[in-house]
Amino acid sequence: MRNNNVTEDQLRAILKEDGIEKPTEFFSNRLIQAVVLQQKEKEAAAFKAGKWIGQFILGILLSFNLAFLYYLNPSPEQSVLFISIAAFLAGVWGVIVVIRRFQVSKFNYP
Amino acid sequence: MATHRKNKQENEIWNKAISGDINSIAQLVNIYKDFSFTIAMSVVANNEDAEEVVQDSFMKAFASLGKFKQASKFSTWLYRIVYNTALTKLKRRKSPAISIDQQQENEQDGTTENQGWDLVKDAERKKYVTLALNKLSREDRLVLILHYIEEKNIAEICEILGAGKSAIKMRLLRGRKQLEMELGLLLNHETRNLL
Repeated sequence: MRNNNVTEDQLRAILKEDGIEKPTEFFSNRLIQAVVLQQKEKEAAAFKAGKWIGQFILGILLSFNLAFLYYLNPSPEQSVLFISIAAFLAGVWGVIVVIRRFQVSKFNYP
Repeated sequence: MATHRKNKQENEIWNKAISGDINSIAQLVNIYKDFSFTIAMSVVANNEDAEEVVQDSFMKAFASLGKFKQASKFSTWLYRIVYNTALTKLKRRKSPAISIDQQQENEQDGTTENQGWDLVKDAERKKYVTLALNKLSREDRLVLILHYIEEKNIAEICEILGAGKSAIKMRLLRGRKQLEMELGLLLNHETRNLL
């Protein structure tokens, strides 16, 4: 035995190669799916909270805009004001489209 | 050098995973699953229980992924969860399954002394290494695999197993000597040719 000592490096190599117990492929795939699903649900929950905050901020902004319009007392002759409102609505719509696209690509998993 | 490269790669995947990249999270699960399963098997010695332990631990650990700044800190914490969950599983098990020691004794019965190097190939070699490892006590085996396979330092092993430094050092020394002896006996003094 004394002449048959394995060195530290040999022992490491032996254990690294043959000391690992591998789970079945079926279990490995199931585990990955379970963890990924949990992460997706977590992200979805986080986004839900963000959605409420976003809606609240948008509500305040819209209220300010309406109040602003009321004080300006708009009439059909004031074309600049109408163009501004149209541009604002188009901007909000554009932001919503971009957010929806980003959300889909982030959760895309094969 | 290879370990350094591995750690660097692991940290890159880690950074992507904590920012919410699903593919990187899947890669992380892939990196840690085998060793976690090895720890669970070392404790519960049963495939079904080990799978259950690993799944429970991963769900628990990955739920708190963002709380860690380094991949190595996370893996240490994950392995600690796996170890503790496995111990809890073992305590809860009403009828104890055949222990690893009993298993290896049964298997060893069919191993004659005349079996030489010819048998020690691929699957056979793995079987012998597993037999030698199973001869060790649970704690000694865990210390050895954490140190040699996962390359955890003494402090990290203390954290995972919840033991003192001197106890871990002693287990490492004792386990190494015993494993060396067992490998020598099982492989009919052909340990050197294993590689």
